Amino acid sequence: MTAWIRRRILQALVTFLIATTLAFFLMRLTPGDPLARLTEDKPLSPAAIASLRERFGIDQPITTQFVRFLSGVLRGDLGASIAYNGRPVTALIRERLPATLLLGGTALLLNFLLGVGIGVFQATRPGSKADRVLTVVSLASYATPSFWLGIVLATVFATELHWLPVAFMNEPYLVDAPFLERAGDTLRHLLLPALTLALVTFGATARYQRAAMAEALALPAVRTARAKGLPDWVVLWRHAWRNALGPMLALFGLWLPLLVTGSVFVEAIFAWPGLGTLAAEAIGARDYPVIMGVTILVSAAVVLGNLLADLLHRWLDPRLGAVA
Amino acid sequence: MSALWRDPAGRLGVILFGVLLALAALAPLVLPDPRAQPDITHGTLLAPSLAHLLGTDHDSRDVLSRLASGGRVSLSIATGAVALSITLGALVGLVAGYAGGRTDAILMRLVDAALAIPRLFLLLLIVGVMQRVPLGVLIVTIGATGWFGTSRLVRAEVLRLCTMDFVRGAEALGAPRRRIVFRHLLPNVAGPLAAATTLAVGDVVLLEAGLSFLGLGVQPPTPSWGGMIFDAKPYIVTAPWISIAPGVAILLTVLSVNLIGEALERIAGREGLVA
Repeated sequence: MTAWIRRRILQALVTFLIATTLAFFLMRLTPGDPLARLTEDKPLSPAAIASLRERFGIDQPITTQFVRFLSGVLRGDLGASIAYNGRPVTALIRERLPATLLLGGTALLLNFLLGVGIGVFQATRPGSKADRVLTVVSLASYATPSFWLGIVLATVFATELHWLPVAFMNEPYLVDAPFLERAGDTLRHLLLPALTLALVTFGATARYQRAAMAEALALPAVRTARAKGLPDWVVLWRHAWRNALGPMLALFGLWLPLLVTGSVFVEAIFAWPGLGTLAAEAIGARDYPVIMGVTILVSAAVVLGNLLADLLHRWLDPRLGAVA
Repeated sequence: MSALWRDPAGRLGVILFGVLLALAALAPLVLPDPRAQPDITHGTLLAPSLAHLLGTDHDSRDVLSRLASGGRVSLSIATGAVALSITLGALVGLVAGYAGGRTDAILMRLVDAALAIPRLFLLLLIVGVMQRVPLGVLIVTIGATGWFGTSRLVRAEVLRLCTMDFVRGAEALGAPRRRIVFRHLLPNVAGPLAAATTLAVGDVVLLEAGLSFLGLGVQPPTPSWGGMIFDAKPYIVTAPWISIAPGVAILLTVLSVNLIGEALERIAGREGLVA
């Protein structure tokens, strides 16, 4: 067991290193001058350009750059931003991370409540009209562009009905307000972007939950529980749902990329001051060290999420250890 | 195909997709030129009417024409990109699954790593520094970043098939490896591969819309659904139809191919059990 855990952690580390390598070479070997944005609107002397190239380290051969970059990543140094006047990328990320975690966490919670609820409901009445309608609804969730839904929801609930704020995380005049008032204000700002993100991602959860639950409901253990005369909700949630948990964990690897990709668009629409906006701004400014930094952070999160899911799955279902 | 028609969800998807395809294909015959700007002073942001079924945009262009023309662009990109990604995915999966050993281990580690980077970010790394993205480059990059999941799926199928008697029999008879891979393995992964292909079309349509919304996809004046949503943003209150139309178009297209894809998955699953 411990040998397996050690091997699995090592494997995650290797995956992360390969992903980082891949990201570096994809960015640097494709055409396009990383400093184009800095030099396009002002004619610079060759000497000035050379000093800029030296400052960002791209005057070195690509292999030297790569070694520098990789050792930087391992020490937690992601280089300097071009658009933010050379501020460290890690500092930019640290500023934006809490907002993204708040938004992503809330969206994940809503996603889970909706997805699990709908999936379980469908699994208990397969083939019914409600099941078929909810299948289409789940697939429609998956098919909706997040940026479009964000614009529509913002227009309806903020611009037209004035129920919720259109953008940002806090009203500027509340800077000195008591904590509770500010928290309430943040919550009001959080609602629309979190809902948008949850609505475009819950479909995947619901589809997986329906399949996992349908399998669990067919288990002999569930039939036994029913035969013992246990109440329906006990059979459903204590016996069947717990057995459907394992396959759901595999979704970890799916949720994170979905949420991160969605938050690039949703944060940009609602001007939510998180990593997504940072990435969107970096795309607009062709700020490659920031794009790279965010990508590496995201891939680390995905690798870590998969690792945790595997470890948790193993812990929940010790039989897996006997097979592997 | 008849199995697809018997599946209620699959049939809904086929009908929906057929209607969308017909609209995109027939549009140029009946609708005005999507590039025409007939009346830039009085004809902008007109509400839907008989002359313009979905109204006009801020440049007085017919929204329905642009929608149909954007749909042709979207579906062409999706077709090209998916053809590339499925071919790559099938090849890598077949090789990894059948060769096994070190080849398999190396290929699958690479695929694991590539899957750790969300596809949008992979694309940003490639096209993010470019000033303009030509259509061909867009198709190739979207295709080249989409095969990782497919290769895993094909590999898993190949591993399952390799334990079966007909493959082992062919091996025992001394069939060359190429013959086993292309005559025995490939046809038997066709079912799951068809499902993956259909689902991939939906992913690409969404991805391309997102990239175009960010200004990195299809370049104006070529119409694209993502670009239309971006252009319509300032007018969402005064002229909501120009925003709503392309969003609904994306939703219906992706929904229809996903309905078909899931139905194909169910069919492949049933056939897999029989084989």
